Amino acid sequence: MSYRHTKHPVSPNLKDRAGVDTIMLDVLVALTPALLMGTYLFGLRVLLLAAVSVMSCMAAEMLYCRLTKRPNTVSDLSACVTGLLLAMSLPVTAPYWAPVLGGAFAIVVVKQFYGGLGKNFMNPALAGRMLLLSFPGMMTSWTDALVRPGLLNTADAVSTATPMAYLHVGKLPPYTPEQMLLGQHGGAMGEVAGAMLLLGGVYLLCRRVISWRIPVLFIGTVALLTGLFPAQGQPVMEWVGYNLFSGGLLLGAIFMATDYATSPVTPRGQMLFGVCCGGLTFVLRTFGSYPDGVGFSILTMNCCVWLLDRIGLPRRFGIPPLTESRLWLRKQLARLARLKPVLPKPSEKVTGEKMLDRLPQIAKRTAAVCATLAVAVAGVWLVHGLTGQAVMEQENRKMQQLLERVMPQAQVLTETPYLAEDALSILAGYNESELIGHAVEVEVQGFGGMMTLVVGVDVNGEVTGISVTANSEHAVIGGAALEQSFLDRYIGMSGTIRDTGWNSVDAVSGATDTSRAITAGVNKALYIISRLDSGDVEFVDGDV
Amino acid sequence: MVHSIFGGIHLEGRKEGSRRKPLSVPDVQPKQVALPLRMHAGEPCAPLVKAGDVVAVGQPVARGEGPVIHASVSGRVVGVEARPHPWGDACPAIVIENDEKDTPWQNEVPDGDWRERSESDLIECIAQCGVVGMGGAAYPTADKLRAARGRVETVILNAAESEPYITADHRLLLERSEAVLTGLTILQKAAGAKHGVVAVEGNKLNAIEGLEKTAQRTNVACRVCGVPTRYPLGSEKQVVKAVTGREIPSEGVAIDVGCVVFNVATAYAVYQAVVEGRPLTHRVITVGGGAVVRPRNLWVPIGTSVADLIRAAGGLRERQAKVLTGGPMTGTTQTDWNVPALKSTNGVICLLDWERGERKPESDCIRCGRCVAVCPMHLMPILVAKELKLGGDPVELARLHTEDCMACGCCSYVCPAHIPLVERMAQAKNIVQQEEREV
Repeated sequence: MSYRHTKHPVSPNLKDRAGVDTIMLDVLVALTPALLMGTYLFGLRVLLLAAVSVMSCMAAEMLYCRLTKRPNTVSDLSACVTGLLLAMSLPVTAPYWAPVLGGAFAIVVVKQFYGGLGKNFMNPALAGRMLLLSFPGMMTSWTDALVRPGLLNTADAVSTATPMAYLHVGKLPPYTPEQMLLGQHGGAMGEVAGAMLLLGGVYLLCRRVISWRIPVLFIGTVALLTGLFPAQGQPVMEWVGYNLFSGGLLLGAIFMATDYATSPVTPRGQMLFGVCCGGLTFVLRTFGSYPDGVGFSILTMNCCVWLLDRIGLPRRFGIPPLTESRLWLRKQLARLARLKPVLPKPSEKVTGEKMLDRLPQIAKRTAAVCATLAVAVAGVWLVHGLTGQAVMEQENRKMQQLLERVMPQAQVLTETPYLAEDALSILAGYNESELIGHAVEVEVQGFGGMMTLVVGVDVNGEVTGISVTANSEHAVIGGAALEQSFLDRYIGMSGTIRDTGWNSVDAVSGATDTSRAITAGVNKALYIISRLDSGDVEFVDGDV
Repeated sequence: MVHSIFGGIHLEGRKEGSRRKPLSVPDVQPKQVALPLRMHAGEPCAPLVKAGDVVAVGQPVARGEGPVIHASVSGRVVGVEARPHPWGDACPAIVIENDEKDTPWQNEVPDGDWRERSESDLIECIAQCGVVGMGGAAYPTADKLRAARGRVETVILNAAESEPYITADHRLLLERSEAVLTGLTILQKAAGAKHGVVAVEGNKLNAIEGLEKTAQRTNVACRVCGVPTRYPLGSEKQVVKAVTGREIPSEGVAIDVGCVVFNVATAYAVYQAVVEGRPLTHRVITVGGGAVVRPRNLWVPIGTSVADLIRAAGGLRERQAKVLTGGPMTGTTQTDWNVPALKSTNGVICLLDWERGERKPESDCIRCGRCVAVCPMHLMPILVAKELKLGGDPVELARLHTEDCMACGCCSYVCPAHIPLVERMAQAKNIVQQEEREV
């Protein structure tokens, strides 16, 4: 009698319904309210941009799979999620090529080059967004809500300051809390609708797509830190509230930081991840030069996931908490205790003919080092000679002398892009932080030929000092007028200086012509300065 | 107070089919029963009968170092033949042709109150009646009691029954609560434990209520502990953790933390053995699942074949149904329906395709971390699977404590990428064990 052997097939015999595609579909569903709110606030262009973004991401994935002959993974919808997230972090005025470029970069470079879904170490959508951030102007001009730029033409869109920009300079944004919740303010098209994003987050939590750990701790840390260190003179509760609903915090914390592939899998690691993201966001928002730091902080923490997973390894079942860590610590301490400083052993002395054998090797190495050094020195010398270090230094010294003469109150003189008809150049003088005045270089006809003056004028229009930088005056005939004591008599004068009478500087006897030329030069400079603010002086934007 | 456990999943109970069906005897008695000589953990028994012998219900037919096996029906022994075994492979079994008379075996009925008997006497009685762990592990109860004597202060009666579909323990609690509680008291006395706890999952509130009432009425000092309805609370380590907050160390058993865990059906068998003097010949088996026409809780002789059990429940709706012994999460698929029900078989579950959920081909891990979040043993199936993909370094795998895995199947159940993680864990366990053997 023979019996078929019973086999041991796969247990369990039940399977959860959730698959990769259903999870991604849940994320798409959760994003929909915020997207629709964005459409209401910024117009139909939002939908079109989102569609372009999703399409380009899916096309990029499909093309890549086709070209590398891999199974097509478009149907898992992860490219769809990436595309939608990327679109939602863009301003509504972004050109249509922006999501195409960002999406292709996100899918091909960030995701597929690292092995596809689950293996990328950076959030693709965020990485795409950061790439687009390197295009000036595009990612920093935000449209006000309810302005609704056209589908093709965004010229009529009015650029406005986002709440984050106000917070960045320590002020509360001029919006009511309701406006903040609903998203009636400038910002990225998917980031503004705070209430809708929270709704999406609650949906994801209920569907168990994400756990509470990352979003709650992320937002909580930001709330705690902004509450502990509010900007000067701002009420704490308002400050915290506006901070939470501004910028990309909600979109980032709920949808981007919780991205599976780029967040830790261990519960403890997830908690650490959330806290670190929140802390970094606070630091970047407070001290960074860019108003919002959510994207940067998530990308930074994405790179620490491996570490966080190792730190967060779950405790072994049956071993009391901290026992393992204590054992580990004890082991490390014991290891450290065993460390003893030991002098390095002198290498064996090689004598006689063996030494001779080694000589060529030593010579070769020394020669290589020497050659490298020589090349480097020659390079530095060459560059030094070409750029004329000495010339630069001399000019700097001259400038310093000029500064002392012309505007002793200022610490720095810099050239400005102003250009006036009669002025050779216009310099601006600053002390630590403020503008003190301007110095104008003018040319006047002296007794013996053209002479160049630099006249310092402070912000009140009074002369602060004069320096004659070039002249061809006769030492005997005009020399007296060039002396510092004569030049100092102009200090403190303003308006039009006459030769005689009220508001005048008496000419030096024997150097009348030179004196008058100097007066003329000072008048010219004062006139130029007086017109600086009126707009008559041409402002030339260029290389200075 | 109930302590929280980490991980686990909330499964659909799907117990509606048989939850309200009282224990019943099949309309038609089985023509034949097969009693495998290996029905408990440890060495198999040696047969005491030969072909042609006439046996009575309760007559010892096989004996070894462990618990005795008794005839579950009366009739003529056909022989000791190789029969398919639910645990896989074939195993010699005593096959008895049922004469449907149920002639009882004349065994000495214990005289006097069991309370006056000594602990060792009780344990000996339990061993002679062939009681084993009836929740699935089939560890001889007497051995467990001997190991536990004097070392434990709590006896936990595991009535969590967290596997879907199975309602055998639930019905036993409802209909035989007094006997079960007496069984618990006997076990407490035999193990020398002060406390007795019945751990029941929150989806059996009527059983909790009934037990509390019975305990009050019969003056049994025990605690009825409602534990969360979460799979795998029926596992020993999890139920101890939930009831006492203590964690059983990796290599240890419940006795190491001062507890000993028995199944409800075991307690009932102990009651029958000690108070009524009846050996373990029958047990409750839930025949359920969407493929069964009339899901029932059957009181059947041990050794009844799966085919007979299904017939007693009205047969199958579809031939393609998947037949399992045990629950759907940890049970074993049976392709040969001649396998007999063992002392530890608590259910025969027949599943339709839609009930089992769609199992698609395996795809890449998306690092969702669900397997980590649900693992009740604090393991990292994701890292184990990754390590196996990289070649399976035994040193790295040993660091992940794969030997702690109890194959509850939670990780495979939740994996959205359809990766058979339980299999991977078993594979990793093998690699580590092989390495250890070589070293």
